[in-house]
Amino acid sequence: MPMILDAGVVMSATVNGAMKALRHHRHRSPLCQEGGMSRTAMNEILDRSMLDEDFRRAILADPDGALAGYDLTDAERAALGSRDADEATKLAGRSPVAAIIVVNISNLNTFITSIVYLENLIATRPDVDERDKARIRQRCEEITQLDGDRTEPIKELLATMW
Amino acid sequence: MSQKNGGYRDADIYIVGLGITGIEHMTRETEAVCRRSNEVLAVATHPSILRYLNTLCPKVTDLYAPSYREDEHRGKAYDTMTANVIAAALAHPPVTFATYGHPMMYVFPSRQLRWLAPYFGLKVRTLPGISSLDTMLCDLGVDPGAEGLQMYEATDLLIRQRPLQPDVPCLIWQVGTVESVLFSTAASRPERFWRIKEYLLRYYPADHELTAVHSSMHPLLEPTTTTFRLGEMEEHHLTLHQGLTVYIPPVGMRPTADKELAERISSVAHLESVTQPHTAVRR
Repeated sequence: MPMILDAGVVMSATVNGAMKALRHHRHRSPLCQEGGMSRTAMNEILDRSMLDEDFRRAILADPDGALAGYDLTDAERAALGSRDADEATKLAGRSPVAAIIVVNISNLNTFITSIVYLENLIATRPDVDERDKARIRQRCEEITQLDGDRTEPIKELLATMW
Repeated sequence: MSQKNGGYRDADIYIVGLGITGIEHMTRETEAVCRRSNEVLAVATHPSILRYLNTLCPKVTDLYAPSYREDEHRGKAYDTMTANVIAAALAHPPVTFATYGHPMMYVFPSRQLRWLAPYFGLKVRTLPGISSLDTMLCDLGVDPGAEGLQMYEATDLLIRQRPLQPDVPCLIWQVGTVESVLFSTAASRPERFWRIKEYLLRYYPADHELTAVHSSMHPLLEPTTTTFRLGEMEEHHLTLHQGLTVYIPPVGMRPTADKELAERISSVAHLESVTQPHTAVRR
């Protein structure tokens, strides 16, 4: 069982709580220390299995064999091999979300990036009338004439429309 | 900046979806426009996706890091994404805005780009991707062709008091962020789900079973599902995280209302009465 799980990180049982806990424990757990063997191995496996279909199939067909050369904890090995979120949950002792955390547990950056997906994007902007449209058009023409990076002027224009 | 494809381009901004589980969800069409672009600005679910995009386009920009701030209105994050893409398109077109899933499925920056780009004289082309709706239909085994499908964003459902049809399968999106448009990584209290539970109880019985589903984001992981009774919804406040969508199966089947039409739909004579003769089609 990874130390990070023993430490109760996933006991928060939510993505939000676990993410905060991961941030906190990143500096405490040997498992999450930059350059740690396990973290390096998990990073490599996650990346390689995303991009390399043969490697992914090898893990699915024979996890022990495919992962034999990697320095993983038993829990990480089991989570990767089983693909079973519930099993990973049992390992973590808490929520289904823990399955994601278990797989990404040694890769904080990966996990945080995954959070993007967890926050589906939706918003609505008020309708703009004709006078607004004329103002926007004029400002866009002005921005187009600017030299250099135009990101900030465009952001300022958008901010006036909320 | 050099022009790719011999100077031809059909858009200044391509808006594409990267799918849910990884690069295998990317379409060939999406890969082609990434190759054609001078910059890909992406919101991806995994660093390796960004690296894969880098094999298609030499300049890849991660839009996540500069966009989100804790407790800030999500609209500001979307404005940052939009502004970066427009600025890049003005500087060195064509560029691609790539987001996970489908670019027109709960992705406000895509809608904002389509709206704002013409003011700058920029042409936009939007391409489809595999959405979380697509993956959820597979995870749940639901085919909308059977009984239809209704779906709403959770907060919008409550604010507008949208009526539900209990006999139609229902997806409620973003239940985990209900009642707020502010970006937050804080865990939800049970109270967050009181109002939506009460609203759903107007249409469904308390013992009706709901399933919270979260599609796999990595090809090595299976999707996760959690089933609970509507009346116990708030007890799952720690499980109902931001990425989950709640599926509400139908309560019974709506009876046939137009029996005469129901009898005619298998009739050749009726078909001939609503179609042209084959000879007319050939002309």
